[in-house]
Amino acid sequence: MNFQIVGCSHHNSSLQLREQLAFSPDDTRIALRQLKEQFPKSEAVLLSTCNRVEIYTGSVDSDVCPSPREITEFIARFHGLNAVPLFHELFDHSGEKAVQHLFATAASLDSMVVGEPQILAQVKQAYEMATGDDCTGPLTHGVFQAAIRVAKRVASETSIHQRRTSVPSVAINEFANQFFDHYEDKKILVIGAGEIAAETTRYLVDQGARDITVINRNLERARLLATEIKAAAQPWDQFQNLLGTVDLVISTTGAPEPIMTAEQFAPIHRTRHQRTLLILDLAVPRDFDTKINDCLGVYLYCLDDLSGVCQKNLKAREREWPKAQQIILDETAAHIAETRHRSSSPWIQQLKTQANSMKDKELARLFNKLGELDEASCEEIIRSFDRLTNKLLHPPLESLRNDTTEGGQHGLLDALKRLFQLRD
Amino acid sequence: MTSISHIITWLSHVSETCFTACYALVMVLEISRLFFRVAVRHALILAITAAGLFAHVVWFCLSARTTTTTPLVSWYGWCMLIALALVFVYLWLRIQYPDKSVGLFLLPMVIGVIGTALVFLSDQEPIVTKASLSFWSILHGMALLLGSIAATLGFIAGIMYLVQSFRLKRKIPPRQGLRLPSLEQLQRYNYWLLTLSTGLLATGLLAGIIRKACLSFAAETSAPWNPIVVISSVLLLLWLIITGLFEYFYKPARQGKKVAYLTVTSFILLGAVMVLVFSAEHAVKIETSASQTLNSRPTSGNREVQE
Repeated sequence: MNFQIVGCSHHNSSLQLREQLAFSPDDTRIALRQLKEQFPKSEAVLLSTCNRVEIYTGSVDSDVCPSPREITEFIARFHGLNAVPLFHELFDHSGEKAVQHLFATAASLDSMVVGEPQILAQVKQAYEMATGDDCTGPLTHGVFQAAIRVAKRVASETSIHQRRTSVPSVAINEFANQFFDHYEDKKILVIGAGEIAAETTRYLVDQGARDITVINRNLERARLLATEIKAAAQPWDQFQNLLGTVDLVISTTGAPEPIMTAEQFAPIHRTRHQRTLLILDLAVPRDFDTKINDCLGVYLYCLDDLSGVCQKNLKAREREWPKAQQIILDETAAHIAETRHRSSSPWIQQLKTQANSMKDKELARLFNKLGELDEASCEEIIRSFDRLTNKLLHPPLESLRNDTTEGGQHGLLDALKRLFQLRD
Repeated sequence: MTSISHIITWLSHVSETCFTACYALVMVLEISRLFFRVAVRHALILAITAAGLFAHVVWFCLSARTTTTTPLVSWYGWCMLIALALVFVYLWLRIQYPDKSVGLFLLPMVIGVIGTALVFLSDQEPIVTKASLSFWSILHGMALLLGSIAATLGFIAGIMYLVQSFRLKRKIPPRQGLRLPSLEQLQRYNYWLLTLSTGLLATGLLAGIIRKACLSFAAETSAPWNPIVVISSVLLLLWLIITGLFEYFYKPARQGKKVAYLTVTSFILLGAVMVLVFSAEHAVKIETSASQTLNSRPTSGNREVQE
């Protein structure tokens, strides 16, 4: 199986690098199209979230699959970066390891906050987008559908997803609660109307927040979210005015540049009279200039600041971890075996058809020679030929299955093709 | 009747050591929260604190029974009352917010106040008999006592606010065993305690001035105005007025770090004024006989009050 992944995640790269390599939804479409043009016979899925940028590629034929180097160069070229430093920054996995990585990612075992539910939705979204752009094929269909199924199995068979600890829930429960003891009278500004914004506001509403305003460059999307959570929607030009009056800001836009610089914030800060302002910048790239944190009474938290709490969550879930990990390992092994079986099954089918055809010919010849036979005798002869064919085929096919499960190290499939003269 | 007298006899053995030891033990238990988790610790803390409070109250009642004075009018009794109030607040907070580490900030103050009383003030005798208390002296004493309690609590809330703010600004993750109330809660406590302490201390100081003026008019034998007491009191009063005006006219002073700085400064100033006033022998009895040593406990009324 030629399935591989090249990318970076919060484990091995800084937020700055992830910001540089991030793909917006529009960028993802363009990148997928370019990949399709550059590697027409290869399948590709691009997953870009706050914590990871990963390109999955694969093809049935190993000769047409791009190498990790080519994918790294593609990423560098797309973002206008020098590829040389990226060779050391990006990781790559192939085959079984790549499948295991995808399963662990979809099951949220590789997330910054283990057990967070968004990642599964993001994996689904990435797969659907690639499918929509005709970039997927049998290999990626199989592995991504399996990843979604495995993620659901991990969620149902372990308690690793209990006490939800997604980035939004950690942001509210672990951070915002250190600032506010209630939310009923707090003015909250939600910037962006995506999935993270929706989930964060749901947590806030659960905690009693009533005065929530959603702003987004696309006012319609802001209105949709506002209607869902019974909040108000405001046009984007109200952003700076609102910032002067609120207590809590949740920022989740996909803007490539900060939407608020320290210089822009200075006059707003003066109007606030040093009133406490908590800014939870959950966007990648960051929406707020980090210098804003230097202002008196302003507390700016970005995604990397959550890592300490994430580590704590990891420890709390350690007991469930081996069980979840075992599911991932079992499912990876099962998927790999199944994929290999699938790759050998056309040949097995061809062999069986060939054997049955020979059997049918021999039976016809025999019945012609024997003349009139009673029905019971005919059936007995047919059963006897069936048993013989099956008994002859069973040992080689079982050996072939075992060999493909082990990765086809002994080359039995090739031997089978040559011995029985099987052809495409 | 015999059993009641037995209980009273047994309770009469209750001393300052009993409740101080209880509070010290609770403080050790609070500190241990930083290092390990024990399921029974919360119950143990509540039980020992309640026992300490009981001993503290019993000690007060027995002290009041055995003397003709009230604890309010001696520096020693004053400190013990402040400590008692602080422990009551601590117990309430411990029940309300069992996961918060308020004890780490409150209990050292309790031990400190009791320690100061035991080391420096145990020789001081009450200076006014219950019968001689006037309205203005009661108001002076009560308002200053309550103001001091509010200022002490404000100081603790201020320190907690600054610690919490420091942690949050530097994004130090919450640590097991060291969880503080939210910034909003601490800011609210700070603001109310600053306002309360400002009002009470100002009332106490003004009541003291009126009391002194009344005494000066009524009796020619009244002691003269002590310049140290006057200057320090005026400085404290000025600070309180400035604080009030600052809070009223300067919006940032009502929120955030500034209110915490104000409560901390108020407490430090109050402490400095208390030390000055005490060193000026305000509200203490002065030995008339030179032969009596400083450490000897007074026995009769052959002293005069330094107002």
